[in-house]
Amino acid sequence: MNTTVETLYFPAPSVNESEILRYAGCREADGATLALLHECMEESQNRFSYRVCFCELPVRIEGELCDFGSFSLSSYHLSQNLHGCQSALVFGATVGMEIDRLIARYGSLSPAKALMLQAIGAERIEALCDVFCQSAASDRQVSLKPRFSPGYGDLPTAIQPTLFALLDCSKKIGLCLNDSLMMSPSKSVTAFVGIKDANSK
Amino acid sequence: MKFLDFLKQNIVYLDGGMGTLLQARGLMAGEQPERWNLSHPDVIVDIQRQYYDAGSHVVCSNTFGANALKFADSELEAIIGAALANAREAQKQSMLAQEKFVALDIGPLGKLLKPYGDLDFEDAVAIFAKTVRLGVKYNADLIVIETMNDSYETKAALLAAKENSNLPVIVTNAYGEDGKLMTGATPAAMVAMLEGMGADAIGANCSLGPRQLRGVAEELLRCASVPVVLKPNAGLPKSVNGKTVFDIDAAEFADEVASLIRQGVRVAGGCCGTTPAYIRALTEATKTETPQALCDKGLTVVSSYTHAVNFGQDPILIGERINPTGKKRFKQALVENDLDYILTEGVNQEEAGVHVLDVNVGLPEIDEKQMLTRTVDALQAVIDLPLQIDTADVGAMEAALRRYNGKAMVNSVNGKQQSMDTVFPLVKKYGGVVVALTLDENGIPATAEDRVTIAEKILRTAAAYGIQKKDLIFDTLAMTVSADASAAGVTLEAMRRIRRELGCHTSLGISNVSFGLPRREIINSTFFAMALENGLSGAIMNPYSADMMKTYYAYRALRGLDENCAEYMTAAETFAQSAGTATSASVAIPSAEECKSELQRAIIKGFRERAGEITAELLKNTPPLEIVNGEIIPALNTVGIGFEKKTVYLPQLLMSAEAAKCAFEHIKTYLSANGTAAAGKGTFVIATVHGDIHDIGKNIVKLLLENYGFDVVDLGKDVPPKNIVDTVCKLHAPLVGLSALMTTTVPAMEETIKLLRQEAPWCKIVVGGAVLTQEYAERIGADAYAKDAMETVRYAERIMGV
Repeated sequence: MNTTVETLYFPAPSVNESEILRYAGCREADGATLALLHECMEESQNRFSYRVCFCELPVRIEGELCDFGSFSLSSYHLSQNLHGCQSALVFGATVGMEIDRLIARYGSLSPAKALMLQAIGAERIEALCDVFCQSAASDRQVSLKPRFSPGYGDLPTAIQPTLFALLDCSKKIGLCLNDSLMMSPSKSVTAFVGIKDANSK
Repeated sequence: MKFLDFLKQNIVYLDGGMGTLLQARGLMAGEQPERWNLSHPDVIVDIQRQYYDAGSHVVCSNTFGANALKFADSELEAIIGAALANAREAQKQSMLAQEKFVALDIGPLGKLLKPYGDLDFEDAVAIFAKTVRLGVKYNADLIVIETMNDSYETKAALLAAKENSNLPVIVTNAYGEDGKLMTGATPAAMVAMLEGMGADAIGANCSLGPRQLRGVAEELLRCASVPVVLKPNAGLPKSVNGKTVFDIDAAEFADEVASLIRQGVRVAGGCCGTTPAYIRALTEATKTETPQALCDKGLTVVSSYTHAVNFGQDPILIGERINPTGKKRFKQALVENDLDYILTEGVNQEEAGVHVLDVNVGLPEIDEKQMLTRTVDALQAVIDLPLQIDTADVGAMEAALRRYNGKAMVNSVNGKQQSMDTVFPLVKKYGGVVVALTLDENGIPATAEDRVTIAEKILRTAAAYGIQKKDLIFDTLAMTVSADASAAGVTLEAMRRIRRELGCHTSLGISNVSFGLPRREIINSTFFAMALENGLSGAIMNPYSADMMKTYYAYRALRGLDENCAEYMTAAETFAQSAGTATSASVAIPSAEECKSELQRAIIKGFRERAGEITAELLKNTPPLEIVNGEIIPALNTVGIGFEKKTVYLPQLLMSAEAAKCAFEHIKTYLSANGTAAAGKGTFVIATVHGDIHDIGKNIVKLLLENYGFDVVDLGKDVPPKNIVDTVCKLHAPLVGLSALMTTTVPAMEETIKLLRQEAPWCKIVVGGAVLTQEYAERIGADAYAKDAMETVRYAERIMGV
């Protein structure tokens, strides 16, 4: 079995300000908060690099066992998520290290800005994942299941080293795995996305 | 023939891809290709022989991932020994007559370095060193460091190669579609750093095909004085019927690379997807080409982790504010190990428009080596500018240069033999542009002539150490004009002659000239203009001085360095604005909180500057303690209670906390100038636990605790349990706060708590972080769980009984 890992660079996805405010723990934004949001958006907007590496794997589900050919794992929640799929995308995505640097820059100089930048980073990586999944679905003319990441439900983060080896994330998109299984850069995602069988509803 | 001699005279062909060929011969997904050196030596030898037969001069050993992170020592030695023996066997078997060399191949470790990853720079150097020593032991002819996508890791690998071998070293980086490394470095920045450290050839490999790498190759050719290397992929990989195919064939590949060889690329080969057929096509396509002559670009250049800064016609501003001389508040920050204060100076100067930051943290009562290293680490983590390492302590200089991620400026060397004998070897080893002061054993000469003579002596000695003219910047020493009326004239004359006659770049510490005079900025900015007109390349100066910045922008406009005077016009607008606010100091604060004082309203609304200004004003006739207890604390309480009642949200709470911090900063400066310090409410040690590199939450808690008067000792992130326990014991701290973001780092928290219970039974432990709950906190043995920063403050107040 020969898996091809492809790398994609995306243009900046459109921004959802209310999502950012939600990540910042702010249900109602006053003028000062909005000014802070806009200042941080302006300062960070050229600091992102939207990169994804991915491959397509066959899937065979047997009970809780999810078999992807070159590796398999046991997870009730992932098996439910991928139920009815013949294949799945596995991807790693990152918006790059610059946002980590910006967050660190303001970490002690201005925790308010750091908080807002961190919320922007969280919104950006989610937006990147959305854009990637949409384009993957339309390229293949299929519909996709909701993406499912290590750490969701009973899918352990211990699976991360396998995904990183499979996708060669550090070489392809500069995404590295730390000994604690945290990812660097921090605004990054790895996930499975089930490809719905065209024949089944 | 020696490889370096061959490189001087010839176009050098490297080999092509290995991984894809091994997969075709049965390497399974997830299997380590390096082990095939031992299990399938025949396959490895066969592929490598094909490369020699295709015309490669250099074949790389199959050791891309052969490092101590992946393999135990004994297996690592077996693999590298076998890999080099295989390549040697291939060299022997090949019937072609060209010069043939065997390179030890070194790839990246797959880990990001600290502070954004978890691998320490020195650990990375040690890991690479093991591989290098084995390469030497098993007789590699040269070392190829390749596919590095981070500048800091590249430095670690090259440093290991230089410290553990005398072999020639080729270094190639993997550039992305944006023409930069994954962590942001441009080709110019990489050339500056790698040439400075003595790489023998520098280039690009992997990631893209030759067409997409054209821009990178051209930029490398523009900057590099050493041979440029290009080893692209066979285009981009695509999956076709379950097979990986690359989108450029051998003929097209050879065509593209050949055209770059005609532009000056001197070392070429292929990376992923290329095969012996690609290399054969390339050597065929270029067999009549003669190598382009190498020329020294003569660039005086320093770099940071992202970009290079060139000394030339356009003046370079070097910010002088990170320096304790004459600054009580700065000295206090050094004594208290307050890196935040230093970082603020760095960020402010960057925003003020400097190009390089001078870093001087020397103080008799502190360990300068340790402080300078920590400061360089902290600054380069968050600031994009190149740094100028400014110290008289050679040990500190070496430690800082070693950890610096780029090519630093070094301040300074002088004409004393002892100074040159200690500083030049460091510049040679780590790279750098060194500021050379025109003084020697006999002091500072009174005449320009004698200063030029010293400069010539320094140039000769530098050359003997292998340091070129382009890596020296002469400082002809600005002396106090109030003490000697001819001082400025001599300095300028010496500078002009060094620039014109010796062809060297120059710098000056501008502000010395005005010492002892009133309104020094007037003298400084005029002297600055005179110096620029006399050939000053870089000024060590105060960027907060509007007069200095006005001179800078005006000079550039007048000298034709500022197209359409665009930057001057932007700057002029700023100057006009700041002049405007100075006359109408009191900006109206929206008075929603009618009953509160102006300072309280500024804090509640989160107006930082205003809170600072009002505090400074109040300090003229109000005791500091009265301001704290009567104004700042009540304002913080208003916001804190609002947060607890959920009428105020976290960003607003933090903006208020920052405004309060600004007010406190003025009070601290006031107390420091009067030789007193505020009495705190008690020591609170705070840290993000081992393995966890996220510290936003911890920083928020720290800010609020400081505002409420606690002496916070911040140990940072990814802190081993022992460090936390040692600090708690040393300070006999009554309280410690631990933060963890991920379930995978909670065990480190538990371990820390266990150790604290043994060693510091008096200490109360409060924990927080995204994954923690009350129940979880109890299970790992903490005294308390705090769901947010305010709760931590309330808990600390309870424990301390305040």
